[in-house]
Amino acid sequence: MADVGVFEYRGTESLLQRYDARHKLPALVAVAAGLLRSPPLGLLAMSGVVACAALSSRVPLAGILRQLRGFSAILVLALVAEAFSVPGARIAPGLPATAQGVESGALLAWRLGALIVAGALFAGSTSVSMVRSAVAWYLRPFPFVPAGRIATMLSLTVTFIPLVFDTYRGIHEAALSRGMALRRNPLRSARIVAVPLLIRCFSRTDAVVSAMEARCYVDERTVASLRSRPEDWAITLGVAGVTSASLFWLR
Amino acid sequence: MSLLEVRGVSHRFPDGRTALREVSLSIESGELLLIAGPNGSGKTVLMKHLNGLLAPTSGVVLLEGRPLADCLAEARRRVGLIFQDADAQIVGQTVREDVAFGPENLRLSEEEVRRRADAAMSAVGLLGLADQAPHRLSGGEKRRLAVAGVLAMEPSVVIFDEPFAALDYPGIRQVLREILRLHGGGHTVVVITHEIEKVLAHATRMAIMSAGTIARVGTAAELIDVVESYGIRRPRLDARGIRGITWLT
Ligand SMILES: Nc1ncnc2c1ncn2[C@@H]1O[C@H](COP(=O)(O)OP(=O)(O)O)[C@@H](O)[C@H]1O
Ligand SMILES: [Mg+2]
Repeated sequence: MADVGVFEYRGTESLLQRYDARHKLPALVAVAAGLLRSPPLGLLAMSGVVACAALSSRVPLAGILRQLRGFSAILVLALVAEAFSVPGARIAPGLPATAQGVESGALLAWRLGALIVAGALFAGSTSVSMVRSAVAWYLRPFPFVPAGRIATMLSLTVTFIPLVFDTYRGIHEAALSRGMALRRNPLRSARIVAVPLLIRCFSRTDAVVSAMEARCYVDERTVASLRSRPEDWAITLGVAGVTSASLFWLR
Repeated sequence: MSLLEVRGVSHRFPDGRTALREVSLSIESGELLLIAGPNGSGKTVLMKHLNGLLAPTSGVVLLEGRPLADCLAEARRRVGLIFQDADAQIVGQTVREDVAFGPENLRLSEEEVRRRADAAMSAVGLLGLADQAPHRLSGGEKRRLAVAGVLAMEPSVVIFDEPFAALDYPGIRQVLREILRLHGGGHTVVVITHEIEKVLAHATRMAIMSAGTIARVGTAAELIDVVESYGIRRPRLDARGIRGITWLT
């Protein structure tokens, strides 16, 4: 299981952390689109954007890469799947992989890898309360949309992901220590872990609801005020420029 | 007038189980009340009645003479609960965010939220960990975080449910010190536990619950010889008597 620590918020002061969440959110969407859809030269430019973000985040790069190791299986899988499925000239007689497949697989793995880094940088530099404020800000113009409640649901979901993983790990280890690995049928093994995981999550949800109510939960809470400065606009315009260039011109 | 008064409260769950039967108990301002009782005796259910999380099937709970049903929002703010499951009460991504949750719900201004969160974190000694992820804290620190989250609401009474469960020796001492500091600072404190030897020496009064009723109320000295008959371990006393069984030496 991939380490989710990589998607954990760290309160370090940095340019990327100060970048207004109302800008950062659409910028992430733009970067994701650019990474996934650009032709190779554009992909290079978009990777440059991600690299700049990594530099300005002050998160040690070695740390990011080490934590991303867990995702390497996904990348290898993407490469292999492409290599064997894209039609073209075989790279060696008897091996059903094609040169075109390897090329497009490598490109796909690159896209996904850069996307994961971008996601990790976003999560690591943006506290949920900032995301909550930004989402509430975007939803506020729409009447009948419970912006406050949606924003809280979002922040709770993100907050509990690490806990769900911890719980999963505990149950999985307990099952392993009782000989689950001896089972041949992977579906049965999955069920052995999934059922207690769901039960634990539901009963924890009950407890969380009580605890929130005890602390006077209301939908429309005080939200952190967001400040956008000239730099934020400059960064956003820069990202928008590079992304459109990558998507449409850098062929 | 008592700060909190439980008057003839019974609680029956929808599945037909009766968890409280005709419970009456008053909590006086400034006291450190110990509520003891074996598992399943109704301690947690009683606690949830004290700030209106559960409503009595019959009977009434009064906050300074007013029924809770008439002042629910005030009761939630003034009666702070520290639940047994420390993980389940964490709703923030960082220590600071979690502590700010209560004041944000009170819709205080951003500066006031910040001021209260800082005050509460420094009161429990967590200011240095303000930007940490809460689930990375130790057991004792998590319990102190829960205390900070409640303190930020500026409550009149703080109620701890099994505060020593699943803590190691240093964790128990941290939490115990926190409890005594709150009480020393003028808060009314209620400690619910079956591990009575950890707080008995510090409690001003003690109640014993058994099968959904309050079986006895009295001082530690009056009740220490009967606790075993209610399924609670009797602490061993040395020459100093009850005063001598503290975990803080
Ligand atoms: N949500 C519930 N539904 C039904 N019965 C419950 C519920 N919560 C608690 N009970 C029952 O109420 C009784 C008292 O529980 P509780 O107050 O949790 O005991 P404890 O003294 O250990 O804290 C127990 O018999 C328990 O099974
Ligand atoms: Mg209990």
